[in-house]
Amino acid sequence: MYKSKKKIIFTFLFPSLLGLVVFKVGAMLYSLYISFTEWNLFGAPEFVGLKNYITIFRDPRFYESLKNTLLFIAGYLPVVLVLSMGIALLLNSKVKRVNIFRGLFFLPVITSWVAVSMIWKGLLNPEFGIINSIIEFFGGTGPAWLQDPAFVLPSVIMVSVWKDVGFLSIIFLGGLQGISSEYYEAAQIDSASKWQQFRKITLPLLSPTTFYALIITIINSFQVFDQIWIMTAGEPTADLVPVMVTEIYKNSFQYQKMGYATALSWILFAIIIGVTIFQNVMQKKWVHYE
Amino acid sequence: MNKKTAAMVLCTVMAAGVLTGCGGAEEKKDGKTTIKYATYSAGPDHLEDLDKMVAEFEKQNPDIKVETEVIGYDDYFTKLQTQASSKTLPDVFEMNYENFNTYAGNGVLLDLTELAEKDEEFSEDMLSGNSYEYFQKDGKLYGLTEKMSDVVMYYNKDLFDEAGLDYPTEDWTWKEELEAAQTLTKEGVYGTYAPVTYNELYKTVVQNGGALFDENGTPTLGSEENIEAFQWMLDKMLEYNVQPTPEQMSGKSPEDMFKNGEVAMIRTGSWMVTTFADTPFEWDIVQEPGNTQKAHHVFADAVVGSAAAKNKEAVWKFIKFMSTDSTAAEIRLDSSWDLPAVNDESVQEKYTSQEKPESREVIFDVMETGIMPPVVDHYSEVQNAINEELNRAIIGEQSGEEALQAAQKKVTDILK
Repeated sequence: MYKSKKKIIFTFLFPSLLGLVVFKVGAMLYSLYISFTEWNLFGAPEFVGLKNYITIFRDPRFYESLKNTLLFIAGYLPVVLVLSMGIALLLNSKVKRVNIFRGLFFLPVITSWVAVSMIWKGLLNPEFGIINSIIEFFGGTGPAWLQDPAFVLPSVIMVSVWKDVGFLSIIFLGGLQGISSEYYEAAQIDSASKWQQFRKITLPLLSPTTFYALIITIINSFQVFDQIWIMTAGEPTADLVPVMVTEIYKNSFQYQKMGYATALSWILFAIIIGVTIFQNVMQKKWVHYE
Repeated sequence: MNKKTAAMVLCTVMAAGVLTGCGGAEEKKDGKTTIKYATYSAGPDHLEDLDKMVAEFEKQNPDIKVETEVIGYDDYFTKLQTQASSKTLPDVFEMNYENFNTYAGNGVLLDLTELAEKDEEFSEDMLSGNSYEYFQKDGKLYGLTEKMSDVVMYYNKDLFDEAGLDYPTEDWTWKEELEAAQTLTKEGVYGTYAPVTYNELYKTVVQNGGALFDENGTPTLGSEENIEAFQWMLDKMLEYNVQPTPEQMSGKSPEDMFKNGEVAMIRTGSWMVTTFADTPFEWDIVQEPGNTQKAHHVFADAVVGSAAAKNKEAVWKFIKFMSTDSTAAEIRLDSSWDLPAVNDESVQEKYTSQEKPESREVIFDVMETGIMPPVVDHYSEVQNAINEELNRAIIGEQSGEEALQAAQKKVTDILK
C-alpha cells in the first residue's frame, strides 16, 4: 500500500492541479505571450516582439504611475506596520473583554473595499464630510481631500491603513502569543525595564512574524487599485494620480490595448518578485528563528 | 471495489465537474429559435417597457424566443469587448454611434445589407430623416437606428420668477445666459450648469465656430475658437462662479442639484424629462444658447447583430422590429424612452402632445442644429487624454489654453 502512496496523493490532487494548471499557470503563460503582441480583443493577436516593453519604458506615464505606487508604499508601509504592532501589543494584554476590541479592529478587514471606499468618500467630502467638520471645529480649514491631486495619495494611504491595520494586528498578535512568558519572567528577575524587554525579547522573537507581514504588505501595496479607483471616480482627480494597476486596467479594458497592458502586468510582476527575493536575502540580517 | 478504483472514479467525477462548468450548452426548446439581446438603455427606468416590446415581438413571431440581458452603460462596452474576444457576443445588441466604427471596423457585426434588400416588407424610408445612414460603413448596412436623443437646456421657472427675469428664449447667446446666471446665483443657488468634459467640449467649440477635429480626423484642439470656448466653460465656474466647482458640488450629481432647486439652468439629456417629471417646481426646456452659432448634441442608438449569430433571419426580424415597428414605437413614446427613429408623423404629434414640459417640441427642433460625436480611432483613449487635461485646468494647475495645447500634443501622439 505504501508503494502507491504517491499515486494516491497525485490522484486526489489531480482535479485541483488541473484547475491550477489550466486557469492559473496556463493563463499566466498566455498573458506572457500576449505581452509580445498587439491585440485589441477583436480578431487574433499580432506578434510585435519587444515593442510593448520598449514603448512602456519610453512612456512618461509609466514612470508617473511607478512613482505614485512607490509613494503610496512609502507612506503606507511604515505607518501600518508600526500601528498594527502597537495595537497587537495592546490587544495582547490581559484586560477584561479584550476580545471585543479584537473584533472591532478586525471589522474593517472583512468589509468590502467598495463599501469602505464609498463611506470614506463621504467622510472626506469637503463640504459635508465629518472629517473637515472636525478640523473646522478646531479652527482649521480642511483640504479638498479627493479633489486636490496633492491630497489623493495621503487620503488613500489613510483609508488603507484604517482598513488593513486590523488584519496585521491579528497576525502580530499571533506572533506575540507564541513568545514564551519564561523569557519575560527571566528578564524581570534581572530587573530589565519594559522597554528593554521589548527591544531585546519581543522584537527579535517577533521578527519572523514581522518578516511575513512585511512581505505580504509590500506585495499587496504594489497592487493598490480598488480604493484609489473608487475614491477618485467622478472627481477631477480621477486620471491625475495613476498607479500601476489603474494603468493596467485602463489600457486593457478601456483602451483595448491588451498587449501593452499585459506587458505592464509582467513588469509589475518582475518588480514584486525582485523585491520579494531581495527581502528573502536580507532576512538573514534581522530575522531570528528560535 | 478496492480503494484505488474508488479514488479514480471520484477523481474523474470531480474533474468532470470542473470541466462542464465552462462549456456552454446549446438550447433549443420546442422547435423555437432563441436569440439573445443585450441592451444598456433599458435600465433602470424602462425594464418593463422592454419586456412589453419583447412580448409583442414574440406575439408577431411565435417561432422566435428572445432572451434579454440588461447591462449598465458603464460596464456595457467592457463586457461586449470581452464577449467579442471570446466569440460569445449576444445575437442582437444595442450599439451607439460613438462605438459603432470600432465594432464595424473589426468585423464582428452582421452585414445586414442583403437581408434588408431581400425583405419586401422593409424600405429605407421607414426610418426618419437620414437615420438609415448612421450605422453604415463602407456602403454596408450594419444596424438600424432604433431611437435618438439629444441635449437641451432645462430651466427652473420658479427661480426665474423669483429673480424677476424673463425665461430664456432660443435667441439667447452665451452673453444672455451669463447675465441671467449672475442674477440667479445666490446663497445655495447656482445660476447654470454644464459639464466640463470632453463630451461637452466637442459641442461647445462648435457653438463658437470651432471643431476638435477637422474633416480628415486630424486633431485641431488648440485653435483660437476652441480656446475661447473652453475658457468660457471654465469662467462660468472659476471666474464668475455662477456654476458650482467640483468641490462645491461635493459629490452631488448636477441633475440632483437641479431637482433640489440648487441649479437654475442645466444642460442635460432629453432623457431626463422622465426623471424631472415629479419635481415640486415648474420647469421647461429651451434650445441651448450658442455663441456664433447653434449646436446641439444628438445621440443615436442602433440595434445590430453579431456576425457569428446562427439564425440571421431571426436577428434581422428583431432588429427591424425594434427600429420600425409601430407598437414598439408606441411603447417607447408612452414611457418617454427617447425618440423612436420610425418615420411616422403621428409619432412626433404624440410625443409633443404629452404634458410636461410645455415646450416638448424643442427636443425635435434641436435636431436641425444637431451634431454627432466626432468619430476617431482609439476613442476612449483620446477621450481620457483630453479629459485629463481639462481636469488639470479645472483644479487650476494650468490655464485653458495650456490645457488644450497639452491635449493637442497627447492626442496627436495617440493617433500617430
